[in-house]
Amino acid sequence: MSAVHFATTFATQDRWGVLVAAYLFLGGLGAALIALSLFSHRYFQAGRAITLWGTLSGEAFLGFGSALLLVDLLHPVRVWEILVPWNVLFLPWSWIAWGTQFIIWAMVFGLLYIWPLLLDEPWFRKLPLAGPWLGRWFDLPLIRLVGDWAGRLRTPIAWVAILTGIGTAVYTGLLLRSFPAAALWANDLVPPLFTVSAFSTALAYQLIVLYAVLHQHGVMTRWYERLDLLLIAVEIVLIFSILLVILPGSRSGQASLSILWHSWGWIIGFLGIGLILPFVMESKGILLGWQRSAPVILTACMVLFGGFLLRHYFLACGVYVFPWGNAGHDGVLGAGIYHVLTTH
Amino acid sequence: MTKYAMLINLDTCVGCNACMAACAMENQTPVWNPDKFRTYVYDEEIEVGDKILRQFFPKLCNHCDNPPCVSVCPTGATWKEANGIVRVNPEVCMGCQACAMACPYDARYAADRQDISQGEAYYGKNFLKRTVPSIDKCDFCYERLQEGLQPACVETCVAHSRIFGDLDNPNDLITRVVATGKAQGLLTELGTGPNVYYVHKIPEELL
Repeated sequence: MSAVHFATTFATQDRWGVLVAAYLFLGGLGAALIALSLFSHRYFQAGRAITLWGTLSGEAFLGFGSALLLVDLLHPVRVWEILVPWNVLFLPWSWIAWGTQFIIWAMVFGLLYIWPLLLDEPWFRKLPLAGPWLGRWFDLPLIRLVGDWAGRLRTPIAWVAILTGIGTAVYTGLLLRSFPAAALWANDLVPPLFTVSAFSTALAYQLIVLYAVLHQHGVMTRWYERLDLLLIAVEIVLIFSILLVILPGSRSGQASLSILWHSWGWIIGFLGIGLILPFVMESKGILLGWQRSAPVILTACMVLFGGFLLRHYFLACGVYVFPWGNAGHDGVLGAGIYHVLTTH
Repeated sequence: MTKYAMLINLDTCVGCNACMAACAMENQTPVWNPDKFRTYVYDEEIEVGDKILRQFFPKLCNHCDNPPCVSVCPTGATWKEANGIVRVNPEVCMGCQACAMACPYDARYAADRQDISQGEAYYGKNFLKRTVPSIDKCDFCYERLQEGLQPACVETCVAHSRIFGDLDNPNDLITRVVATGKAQGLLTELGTGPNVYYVHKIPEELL
């Protein structure tokens, strides 16, 4: 028996571009921000301001990221199909179906948790133009009732938001994990990597807010810096496990490695500026301390930059190995029939 | 139970592309874009030792037993029929393209709004089958099967390279060929369980 001989074509994809990379980045960052903010407020006495900043920013990032995905759809009106909660009952195997519900409920319960804080926050009432309107709206009996109810049930509300937030961060990795053709995506370390990266970027964002906006340096910032360093260390281990251990085992993986190791954006941008340098700078900050806030803020910005580049390069460098070839004449006959069909 | 499958004999395919034309006209694919066909015939060269074999390679949806496109679809727009055919309902598809990302066979393409409007001009507004943007792919000409006909690509193939049949029918030619073990699916190592099989043998003068 003679085995069938197949040619080979290596191809990357152009279906999911920068908009989906931004969706994965903002989705992970936003959801992790909500989970982190609520957990910190509930169990580590985080202040009202940083909790509101983190949660509202998380809501905005999730909303904006989802909007980017919506723009990328061929038929955006149909999105209502996945917004209804019972969709996951009919399609429990679809990670996008689960992820959409995680995003929705993380946003709803995140907002519910901060509702009582929001109503008593004087800053919103002082906003130009919208302030008086917001003040009147916040004082409506029904709005106050929701606030009272949310205040009484804040522990279960917090946990629903935290768990769905974690679920969203995990989902951004599971989404890629469910594509079997490219070794870069279809390995079990991608969901943990994206989850760790999501929480690392959320901590970096909170550090920027604490240092640059609220000017609060204290126990919370020290804990956030330590935790972020730990997550960056785990991220380094995961990245190099994927790159050095898993990917060389397949032709798809080898091709992905080849692209990544020839991309200065990956090597300098992600590995250098987005991962290794923040690790070094945060280590220095924790061991020896910084005299000023600027290095901490700069490091956090680099972590955010690296978080986006990670998603971008993972999407761009997944390689399909098709069992057919084009031998340089792809389209000679194919284009021939295209020509016949389009010039009749 | 019926389990539809296709067998492609690479030895007899002459690369006439009649299958592509028949499929395009039957299913109204966006022929104005050379990347958007339900089936495509590649013109390829394979190295056999120090010699080169030129062959034509028809490609289409593999109607997998374990289709990754179905498991990622968040709306249920794509599903697998009991007879093995993986189908798409354009009325439910929101066009996230996750199915196209998941497909290891590059068997799906996006029919976007521009394709719909060009389709009105090309195929005629009153005869247009696709009216909403969606992901599209081969469905073994489902409507023709309902009428007892073969898929358009099979019926039009001048070299009988494409053989369509029921793998659960022991008397079907495709069942007998697949049972010999000489027919091979694509990328079986991924666990997708493809139901399009290929046979060919290297010409003796190349060995």
